[in-house]
Amino acid sequence: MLTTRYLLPLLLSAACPGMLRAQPAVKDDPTARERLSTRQWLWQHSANAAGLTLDTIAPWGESLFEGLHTSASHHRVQEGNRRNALTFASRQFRPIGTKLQAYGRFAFTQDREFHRAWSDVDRPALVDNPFLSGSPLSGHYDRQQWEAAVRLGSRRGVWGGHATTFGLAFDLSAGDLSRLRDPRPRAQRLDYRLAPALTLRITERHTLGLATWYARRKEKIESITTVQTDPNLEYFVLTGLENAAGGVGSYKGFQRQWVNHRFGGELSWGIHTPSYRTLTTLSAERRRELVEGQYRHEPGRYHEVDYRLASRHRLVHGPLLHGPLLHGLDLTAGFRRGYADEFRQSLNLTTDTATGIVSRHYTTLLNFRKRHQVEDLEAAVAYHLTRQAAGGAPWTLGARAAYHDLSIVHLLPRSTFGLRSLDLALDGNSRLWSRAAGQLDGTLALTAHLPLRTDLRLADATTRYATGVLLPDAGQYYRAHTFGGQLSLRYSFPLTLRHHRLRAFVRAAAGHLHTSNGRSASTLGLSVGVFH
Amino acid sequence: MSPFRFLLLAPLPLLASCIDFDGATQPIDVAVRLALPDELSGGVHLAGHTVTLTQGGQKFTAITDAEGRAHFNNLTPDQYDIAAAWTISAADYAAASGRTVQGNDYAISASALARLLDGSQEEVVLTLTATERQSLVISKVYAAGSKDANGRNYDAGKYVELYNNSDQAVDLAGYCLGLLDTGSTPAYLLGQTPEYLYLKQVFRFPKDRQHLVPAGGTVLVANSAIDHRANDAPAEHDLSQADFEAKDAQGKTVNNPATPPMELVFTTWPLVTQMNLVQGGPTGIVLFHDDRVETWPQVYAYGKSKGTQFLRMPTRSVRDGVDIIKMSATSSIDLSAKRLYDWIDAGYTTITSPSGRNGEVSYRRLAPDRPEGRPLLLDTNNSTQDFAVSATIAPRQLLP
Repeated sequence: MLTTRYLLPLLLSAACPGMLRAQPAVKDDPTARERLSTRQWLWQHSANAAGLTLDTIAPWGESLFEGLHTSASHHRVQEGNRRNALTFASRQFRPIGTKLQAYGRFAFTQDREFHRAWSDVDRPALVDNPFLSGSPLSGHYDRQQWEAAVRLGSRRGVWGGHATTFGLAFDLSAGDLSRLRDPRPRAQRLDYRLAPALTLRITERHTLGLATWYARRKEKIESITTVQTDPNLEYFVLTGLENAAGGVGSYKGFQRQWVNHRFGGELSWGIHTPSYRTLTTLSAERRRELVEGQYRHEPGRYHEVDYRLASRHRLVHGPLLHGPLLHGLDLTAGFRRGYADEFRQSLNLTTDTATGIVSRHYTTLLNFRKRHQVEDLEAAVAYHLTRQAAGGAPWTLGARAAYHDLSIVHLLPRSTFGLRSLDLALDGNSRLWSRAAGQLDGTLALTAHLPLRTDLRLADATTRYATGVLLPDAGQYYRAHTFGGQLSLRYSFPLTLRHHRLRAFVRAAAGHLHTSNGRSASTLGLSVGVFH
Repeated sequence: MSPFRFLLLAPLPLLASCIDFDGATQPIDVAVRLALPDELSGGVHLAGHTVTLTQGGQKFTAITDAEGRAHFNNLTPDQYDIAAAWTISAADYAAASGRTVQGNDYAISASALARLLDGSQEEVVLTLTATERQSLVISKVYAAGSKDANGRNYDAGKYVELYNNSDQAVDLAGYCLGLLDTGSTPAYLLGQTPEYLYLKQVFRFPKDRQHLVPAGGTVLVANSAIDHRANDAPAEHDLSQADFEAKDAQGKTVNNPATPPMELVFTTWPLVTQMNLVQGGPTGIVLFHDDRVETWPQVYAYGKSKGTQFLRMPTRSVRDGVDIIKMSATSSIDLSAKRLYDWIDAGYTTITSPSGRNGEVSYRRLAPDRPEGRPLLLDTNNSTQDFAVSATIAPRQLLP
């Protein structure tokens, strides 16, 4: 959801302390350590697991339970207007012996989304593979999602000489999305990525890094069931922009799977001096997605390439613990280009004369090459200033601006959809109160979304998908200026559990977003957790 | 190679794997040319006739020139149903064919189903056929069924309607309705036995007495000749005035004792004595008149030696037929499920729901011309052109 896009990252970043920097003055204050360490991260923002030991990280972890409620009148048709979610998440940085550094993360989320329509898979339809499916009847959806990530990085000098570190990252995600209203599909997803990496110190100050990866994502709907026998139930399969085939009863016998293979690589260049660190990364990922239905019918295939460039800079004035300033500047850009070939296939029946068994298979009669085309450009600049307050935790001020340009074209006949927007954000956090019994930290963020251009031109604006999704979204959602604010308060306190001294926290967050067309979105969240 | 150089060069193949939008499929120009068959070498005017391309509910039309060519420009490559049809009088047919004929008009038509137009051919040639218009045609098939006011399935109101499309009265005695096999896989695929069709049921109008159908008259054959709207089924119809009824020997369906029965000549399932019209399809029906029907053999499906048996009938006996195909879950038509050859029905019709129960009736459309003011139904031997569906059309009602 839009709200999630704006609020959740800020809320979670405030609640999820990151790295640990072993500085004497903040050694016993994980929240302070988190803020300092996280702001100095460079390699942790890249895909290079071998950089795990190049950012200084002390053993640290956290676990939390979080409840989140979101309600919105400002949402896309394919998003619900309300969502309740419960999450358990845990992550840990820890050395393994003297040779390896490890990072692990696990998260489980159970949520229910209300009044969602036209989307039965776990991804947005507009900017991705167009061959998705959905029902025009809004309903509630239950989602379960498991995520696990493991990063291993070697220290310099362990293997390959003093100049080299090696790393390996493995990410795994599984999800289940069930619709709770007829017709009832159930989309099951498995997504994993394996990424080996290495870094090579060229000189005392310069380090090069290389990471490559293979990722596979499979999502499938095996069948669609109904509880009632309503003869007027409709179901549609989408083929791009306003084009959707289907109608009454089309859910019968429906089955589909999407299998996505991604190959990618990232080149990194880091520079490290006592007061200045920078990391520049350039990555490219090639993706091919196969779509198959009953009897391996293929409506089409999707191809995409994704380029990303990031340049991050960290500058420290003086020792960090005695009131210095940490400047952080992040410049990121991404360009994604994809197209979908659409197939026209014919079902062939072959009868075995000996057994009478009939075999069915599809042959491709026609290939609409590059019928659906997507171009997506994002560029962002973010600056943050961190200062260690005297005797206390650091405070941070930040600002971010992001530009987004999306273009979708569907040919034969030609339909187009163009979006251009600017996103602005200001944020700050600081310790509000500190006692022996506990500390209170506050985070405040202000956001603005300014659409610069929204242009929808459809060859046929009367189709069900056009009137049900594209025209309402273009008219109400994408053209709206939005302004929002989020406030998060976290209280952390010492906790003794089975003779172990821990630090626990409780965080409450609230956010509200208002649009120029009178719509709004609100979020409330509550989480409890411990640092370990 | 030093690690340094490897690091620099390794990502290059990925960076080189760009995607561009060149080579996207472009629209095409295509011409459809109508060609006269040998039997009409005496000449039929080819200019000024409408050729229709149909794809996914969209229709494109063009008019033929003197050479019978219709030009379509800027067409999206795809599979199209192509059809052209017009009528000539018996006298014009005689002049063009050199044969002595009298009576009904002749339909000059050409069609092709799911023809791939991808730009590889600049011209598509369709050979015309001349078919004598039948007096009796199948005008409606109601097989979908509906839901009653309580949401329960309602199947008792199914019917078939015939129409006298000629200007003379027709005697129904001995005419038969044949219901084609309706398995998910045809008993025999088209082309395996071009001389035969395979029927699961045959009902005959009583041959022991005359039943005249006047010009422009209808014959309503119902499974249950009652007013079904009185059964709290608002989508159903009043069939109490049906001309004939396929009686239910099991007594599960209410029959009207005043309605004459159809003779059940053959049924695949001994206990099923009503017309077994499948809700979502396929539901192919043929009309024929052949006294040898009782002598036709009963055969198993292709490659089978046991199981369901079908009545094998010669295709030359067919007077009229309509191929109603089941729509698939993805709203596409599976043409491999067609049962009728092109000379019986070059097209197909379908209701809009794969599972039926939406009250839709497949009906033959009114022709635009009205000779002597008499309503005429389209009869181009192509149900894609001749038929439409409606959930509101009443028995005996005619619609364009």
